Amino acid sequence: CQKDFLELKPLSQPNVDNFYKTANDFNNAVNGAYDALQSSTQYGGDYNTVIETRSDNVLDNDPSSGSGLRYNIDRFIEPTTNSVLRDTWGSLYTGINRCNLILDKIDAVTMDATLKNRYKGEAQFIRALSYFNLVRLWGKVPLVLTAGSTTDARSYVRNEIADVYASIEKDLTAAAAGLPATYTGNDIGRATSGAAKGLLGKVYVTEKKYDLAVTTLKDLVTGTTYQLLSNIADVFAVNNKNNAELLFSVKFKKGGSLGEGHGSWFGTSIGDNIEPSLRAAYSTGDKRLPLTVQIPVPTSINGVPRKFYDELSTTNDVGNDFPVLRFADVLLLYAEALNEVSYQANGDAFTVLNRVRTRAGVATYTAAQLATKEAFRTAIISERRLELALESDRWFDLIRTGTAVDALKVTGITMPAYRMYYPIPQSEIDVYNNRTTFPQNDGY
Amino acid sequence: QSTITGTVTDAANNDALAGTTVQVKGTNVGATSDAQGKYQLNLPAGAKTLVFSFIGYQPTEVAIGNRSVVDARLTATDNALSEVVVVGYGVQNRRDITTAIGSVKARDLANQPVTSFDQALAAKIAGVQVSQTSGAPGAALSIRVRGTGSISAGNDPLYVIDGIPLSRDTKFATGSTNTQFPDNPINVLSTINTDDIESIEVLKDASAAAIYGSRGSNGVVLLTTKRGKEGKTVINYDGYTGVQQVSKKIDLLNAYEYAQLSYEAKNNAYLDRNPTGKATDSNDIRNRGVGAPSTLIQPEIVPYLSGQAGLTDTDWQNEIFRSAPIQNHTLSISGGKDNVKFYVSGNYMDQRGVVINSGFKRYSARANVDVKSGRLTVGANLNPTYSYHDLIKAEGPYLGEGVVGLALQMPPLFPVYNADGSYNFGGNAWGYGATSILNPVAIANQVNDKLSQLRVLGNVYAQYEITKDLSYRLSVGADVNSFQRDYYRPSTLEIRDRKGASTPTGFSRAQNFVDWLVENTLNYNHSFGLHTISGLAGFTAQKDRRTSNELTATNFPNDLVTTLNAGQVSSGASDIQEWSLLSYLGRVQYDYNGKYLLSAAIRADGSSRFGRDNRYGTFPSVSAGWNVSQESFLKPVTWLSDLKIRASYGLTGNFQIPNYGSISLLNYQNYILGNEVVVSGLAPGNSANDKLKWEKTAMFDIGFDVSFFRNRLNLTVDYYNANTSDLLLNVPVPRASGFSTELQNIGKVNNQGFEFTLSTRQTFGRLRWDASANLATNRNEVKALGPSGDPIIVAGGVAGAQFITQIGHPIGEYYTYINDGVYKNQAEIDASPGLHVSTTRPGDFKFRDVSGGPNGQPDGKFDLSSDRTVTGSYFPKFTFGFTNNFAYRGFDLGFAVQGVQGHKILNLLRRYVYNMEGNGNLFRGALDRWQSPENPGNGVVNRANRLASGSNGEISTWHIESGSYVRIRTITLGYTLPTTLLQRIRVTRARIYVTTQNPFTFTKYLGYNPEVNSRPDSALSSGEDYGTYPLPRTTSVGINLSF
Repeated sequence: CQKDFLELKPLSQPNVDNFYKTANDFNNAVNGAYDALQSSTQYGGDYNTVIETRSDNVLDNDPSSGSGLRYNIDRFIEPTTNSVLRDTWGSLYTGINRCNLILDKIDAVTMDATLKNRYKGEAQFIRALSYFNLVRLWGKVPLVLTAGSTTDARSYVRNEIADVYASIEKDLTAAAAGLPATYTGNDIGRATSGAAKGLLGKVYVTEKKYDLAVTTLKDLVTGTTYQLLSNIADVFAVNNKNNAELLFSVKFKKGGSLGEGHGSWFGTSIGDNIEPSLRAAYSTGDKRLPLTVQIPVPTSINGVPRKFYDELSTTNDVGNDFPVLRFADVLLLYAEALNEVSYQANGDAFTVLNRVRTRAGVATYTAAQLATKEAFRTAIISERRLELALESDRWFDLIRTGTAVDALKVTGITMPAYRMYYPIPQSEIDVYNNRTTFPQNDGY
Repeated sequence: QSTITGTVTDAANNDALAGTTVQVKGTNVGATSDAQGKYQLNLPAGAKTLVFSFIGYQPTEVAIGNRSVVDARLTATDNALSEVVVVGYGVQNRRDITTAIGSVKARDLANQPVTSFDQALAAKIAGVQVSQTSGAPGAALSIRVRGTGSISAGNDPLYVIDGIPLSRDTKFATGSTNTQFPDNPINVLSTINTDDIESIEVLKDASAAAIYGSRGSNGVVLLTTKRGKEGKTVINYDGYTGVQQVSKKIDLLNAYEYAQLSYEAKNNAYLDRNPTGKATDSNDIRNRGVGAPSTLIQPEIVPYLSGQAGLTDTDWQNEIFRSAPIQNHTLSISGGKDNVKFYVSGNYMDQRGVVINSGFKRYSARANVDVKSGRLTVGANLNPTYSYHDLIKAEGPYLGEGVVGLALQMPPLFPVYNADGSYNFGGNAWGYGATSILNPVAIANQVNDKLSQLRVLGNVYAQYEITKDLSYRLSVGADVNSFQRDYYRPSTLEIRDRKGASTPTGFSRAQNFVDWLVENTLNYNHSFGLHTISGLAGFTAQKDRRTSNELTATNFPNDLVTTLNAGQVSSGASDIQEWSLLSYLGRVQYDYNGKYLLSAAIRADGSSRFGRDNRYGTFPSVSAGWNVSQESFLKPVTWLSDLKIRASYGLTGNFQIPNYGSISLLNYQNYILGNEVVVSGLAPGNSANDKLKWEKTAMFDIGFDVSFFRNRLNLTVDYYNANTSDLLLNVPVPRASGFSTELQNIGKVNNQGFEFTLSTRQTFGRLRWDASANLATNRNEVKALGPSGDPIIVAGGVAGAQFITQIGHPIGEYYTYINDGVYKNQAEIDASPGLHVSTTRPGDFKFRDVSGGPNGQPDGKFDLSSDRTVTGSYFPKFTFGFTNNFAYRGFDLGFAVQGVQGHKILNLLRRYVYNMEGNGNLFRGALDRWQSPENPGNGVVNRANRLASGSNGEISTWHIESGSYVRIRTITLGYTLPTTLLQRIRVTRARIYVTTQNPFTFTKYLGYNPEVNSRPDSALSSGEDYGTYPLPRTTSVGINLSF
C-alpha cells in the first residue's frame, strides 16, 4: 500500500518506459524526427540567419533587435556564445538523437519488412541531412550514431570531417535503397529514394567527388519523377505544395495553436534586407528577380520576399514549406559535376544548365561564352545564387568553392577567413572542457 | 455604592500604566487610569471583579473582595519571554525555545490596507525578506527566509495554516497569457483574511524546520488563526476604506521633445548610411537610400518640430493610472462557555487597482470551534473563500503587451481616442521603421481577463487524553482550490504590426486542486523533580491531485459574446498531475529547571517525486539552550533580566521539484504530411534519472537572547551558516546527447548571515514608546555546480541580458559588458582601435575591454565573446526594518520603515525607454544626450539614432541600476475613544485611525519599484525589470469596534 501510495506514474504524458514497442510507436517516432527539421532553430527559421544572412544574399539591418544576435552573424562578429548558433547545434543533435533511438530499437521489433525499411530509411535520411548541415556549418563535429546516455556523451570527440561525410554517404545510400520512390495520401512529404539520391549527389559535389555525383544524379536528371515546373513562382506557391519539382521539403501549416507554422522568412519592417548585389546580379527579365523582391503582407507592416510570401493566419504565422532539395538544384549539381569531370563545349553540362536558364526566361549559355572549365564553374555558381537565392544554399556554395571572402567584400563586409566555420557553441566547449578532444574552431 | 481607587503598574518594571481601562465585570461601569496609573470609580451594587485592560498587556481580572484600594499589575503580552510561540506540531514558551523563530502577533498585522498577511510581514522579522514585486491587487509576493538556497527548485517557504502544510503548486495555477513575459502570479495566500490571524511564526533555522523534513529548507511560515476564549462573547468589527494612487510616476519626454529626438534619430540613421545626404532631404530622396523606411521622417512629427502650439501631448501614464478605492470589513464573534469555544468571522474586501480595470475582491468566512468532553476534545476549522481578480497584463515590454511598458513607450503625440471616440492605434504599424506600440488604454479596457478562486481550507481533529501525560491526536485536513480564468481579446483591439480589426481570441482555463492530509500524533509531557521531558511521535500522509482543462477559441463573429461557445474552439487540453508524501516524525525535548534545554527532532519523508532509487529522505536535528540568567551567579546582576544562549544544527530538504522529474517523458512533436495533415509525433523531452531526490540543507545556528533593565530592552542576535547540497540543477550536458540539460542533484550553495533584533519599551509619563529594529545580512555563495563546475549562464528577457551563476559567487549575477559612457568625438574613436566595431560613431557607447588575453587579462580589444563580466547582483547586502509605536492617552501613532541595500536591478525597459532610437518615448534623461562634439551632453547618454550604430544595442551596465531603497511602509495615527463615553452605547472599545501605506520611498532607481523582479521564481535570472505593475500609495481611514 505504501509503495502504491508513493509510486505515481504520469497520467497525462506518455513516457519512454512503454514506448518503441509497436510499428505505430515507430511511426510516431519517425514523425517526431521530421519535427526536428521543422524547428524554428532549423528550417523553421534560424537557417535563414546562419546560412542565408551569413552569405552575400541577405543583410541584417537591425543591430538592436535581440541585442544584435542576428546582426552579429551577418557582420561576422558573432561571439562564441551566440544563442542562435547554440540552439541550432542543439536542435540538429536533438533530431539526430531521435533518429538514433529509432535505428537502435527498431530491429528488435517485429513488423512488416517494407515498413521497417521505410522507417529506417526515413531516420537515415533525416540523420544524414542533419549531419550534412552540421559538418558544413561547423566542420569537425561529434559523430553520434547510437543513442547514448548523457554520461556517454561526455566522452564524445570532434570527429574528422571525412568520417562525418562517410557516415552521411552510408546513411543516404542505405536510405536510397530502403525508401519508396513515391508515397500516396497522408504519407506524401516523407523522404523518398529520390530525395536520398539527390541529397547524396549534393554531398558528393560538396566533397568534390564529381564522378560519384554524376552517376548518382544521372537517374534523377534523366528520369521523369521530378521535373522543372514551367513557371518558377509556382514551385514556392503555398497552394502548390508537394509539386513535381520538389524532392524534399520541410512542411509547415499555418494557423491554430499546434505551432506547425512559422514566422515570415526574411520578413522585415525596418527596410529592405536583400543585398543590393544579389538583385544586381539578375539580368533584365529574369523571372527569378521578382521572387527576391520584398512585397508587403496585407494587415502587416512586414515586407516578405515573394518567394516565401504567404498571408498571415489569424495567429500571425505563415505556412510556406521549405524547399530543401528541388529539381533545379539537382540539374545545377549535375551540370557542375559533369563540368568538373571534364569540360565539354556545348556538352551535356551546357544542356542541363540551360534548362534552368530557359525556365527563368534568360538567354542560354554557349561554349563561346563559357569557353573553359573555370568559366563554366563560375557561371554555374552564379546561376546557383540566382536560382536558389534564400533557399539556404548560397553560404555553403561560397564555402565549398572558397569564394566567401571575395563575395562578401562586394557587400562591404570583411570576412576573416577563419570564420568559414562557425564557432563551436561556447556551451559545448565549456561542457567538454577538453582542448584536446574538443577544441574550439581555429581563430575563435 | 462605594468608591474604589488603585494604581495600575507594569508587572515587569513597576512603571505606572497610564490609560488603562478599568471596568467592573459584567457592567458598563469603568474608568481610565491617569498619568500616575491611578484610577477611581464608583462601584455599583454587587460588583465583584475588576477587569484591567490595556493594549499590549494581558487583560487581568482582580477580585474586589471588601477592599477599597485595588492595585493591578499587568503583564505585557509582548514581553518576549512570556509569549507562547507556535512551533511545528505544538507550542512552546518563548523562554524554552532553542531555535531561531521569528514571531509576529495579530496587532502588528492589523489595520493595514493589504490584501494578504505576507505583505504585512515586510520588514517585521530579521532574515525574512518580503519583496512586493508587483503592485497589482492580489498579486503574489516573493518571500525569502535567510537567502536563496535553491537554484532551480523553488525558494518559497512552506506555509502551514493551522497545522495544514499547503501545496506550493497552486501558485502557478492561473497560468499566464504570455510565455515569454509571464504574468505575475496571483497570491493564493490572499484567501486568508489578515484579521483572522492570531500569530505568524517563521521557523528560520533548520532545527526548527526539520520537523517539516523535506519541505523545511526554505523556512516554514506557521500561521495560526484566532480561536474562541472562555468568557464573555465578544463582537468585533474592523473596517477601513481608503484611496490608492500610484506611488511614483516616471519623467518622460513631452511630445515636442520626443519629436525633436525622433527627427534627430532619423537623420543620424540616414546620414550614417548616406554620408553625402543632407538632413533636409525629403522622404523621396531618402527612400532611394539604404535603410529606408527607418530613415524616413514621420509626417506626424513635423508640426511639433516647428513648435506649433497646442498639439496633442498625451501623458500616457495618467491615462492608465487612476485613483482607486479600497475597502475591507471584518465582523467576528467569539467566545466560549461550557466546554465549547468558537470564533466565527466574515470578511469582505474590495481593492480596485491603480491601473485601470484591475482589481481584487474577496469574500471569506471562518469558523473555528473546539468542544471538550471529558478527556476528548474535538474541533474543526473551516475557511471558505471566494476571491475574484480583474487581471491586467502589466508585465513585459511592448511585445508582451504589458500596459505599463506600453504607456512608457507610446509616443506622446498620439491621442488615446480618435475624434469618433474609438481608440487611436496610431502607434501600431506606424511604418517608418517604427516599433509597433499598441494603445495601452485600449488593452487595459478591452481585454477581459477574469480569474476566480474558490478555496475551502479546513480540518477536523480529535484529541484524547490517554493519561495525564500522554495524548493522541488525529487530524484530517483538506485544501480544496478551484480556479477559473476566462480571457477574451476583442476584434476592436489591433494586434501588433497589423492595422485594423483583429481576430478575437479567448481562452477558458480551469484548475482544481485537492490536497488532503491525515496526521496521527502522540504527545507526551512529564515532569519529575526539576526535570521536564516532552515527546512527540507522528505518522502523516498527504496527497495532492491537480486536474486542469483549457480551451482556446478564435474567430468569434463579433464581440457581443465573449464566452467560447461564440467562437470556434481551436484547441483544448486537459491534464492531471499528482504527488504524494508519507512521513514519520518524532521530537524529544528536555528541560532541567528552566536552565538547560535540549531538543532533538527527526522526520522521514517518502515522496512520489523522488526517483525510485531514493524514495525516502531522513531529516534529523538537535538544539540546546542555556538560560544563563537563571544561574545563581547572575542573579545579583539586576540590570540583566535575561540571557539565553542557544545553538542548533539540523538537516532539512526541499522537495519543490517536478512531479515526474525522474521519468523520461515523451513530448508531442507533431509534423505535417500529405495535404496539410497534422500527424502525431513523439520524442523524448528529457532523460530519466532514477536517483533524483530532494535538495538538502544543513544549517548551523548560534544565537543569544538578552534582556536588560527589567526587560525594557531586548536584543536577539543570530549567526547562521547553511550549506545546501544535492542542489537540483538542470546540468548542461553535451547537446550531442540530444538534450541540452539533465535534472541532477549536484550543486552546492552556502548562505550565511547575521540577524539582529533590538526592541524596547519605554514609558515617559503618559507616553509609551515601543520600538523594534531588525537588521539582517546574508552572503550567498555557490560552492559547486555541474560535473565540470562550469558556470551556468542564462538569458533574461532578451538573449543579450545574461546572468551567470558560478562557483565562489552568489547565484544569478548579471553578466554583461561594461559601458564607459560615450565617445565624445572621432579623435577618441580613432585613439582606441580594437575597442569598437567599425560602425562606431561619435556619441556611441564605449565599452570596456576586460578580458580575452592570456589568463583572462585585457587584450586591448573589445570583443563580444570575451568581454562580458559580472556587473552586479540582485541580492542585497543587508535588509532592515524599523517599527515604532507611540501611545499617549487615547492616541497611538505608529510607523514602519523597510530598507533593502546594496542590490542592483537589470532595468531592461531601458532597452526601449532609454535607447535613443526615438522609436517610442524616452526617459527625460534623453535630453542629456550626445548631439555633437560641441554639444556632447552629459557624456553618459548616447546619440539619437534610429538604427543604432556601434555596439549600442548590447546589454551592458547602461541597463543596470542600483536598487537600494528605504521605504516608509506605513504611518498610522489612531485614537481610542474613552470608555466612559462608550459605555452608554454598549461599546467596550472603539478606535478610529488613519493610515498611509507606502507614503515615501527613497531610491535612485529610475523604474517604478525597486522590489521588482520579473522572474521571482527563477533564482538564476532574478532582478530584471521589463515592465511591472507599480506599487500603490494608500491612504485609508478605519475603525475598530468591540461590543
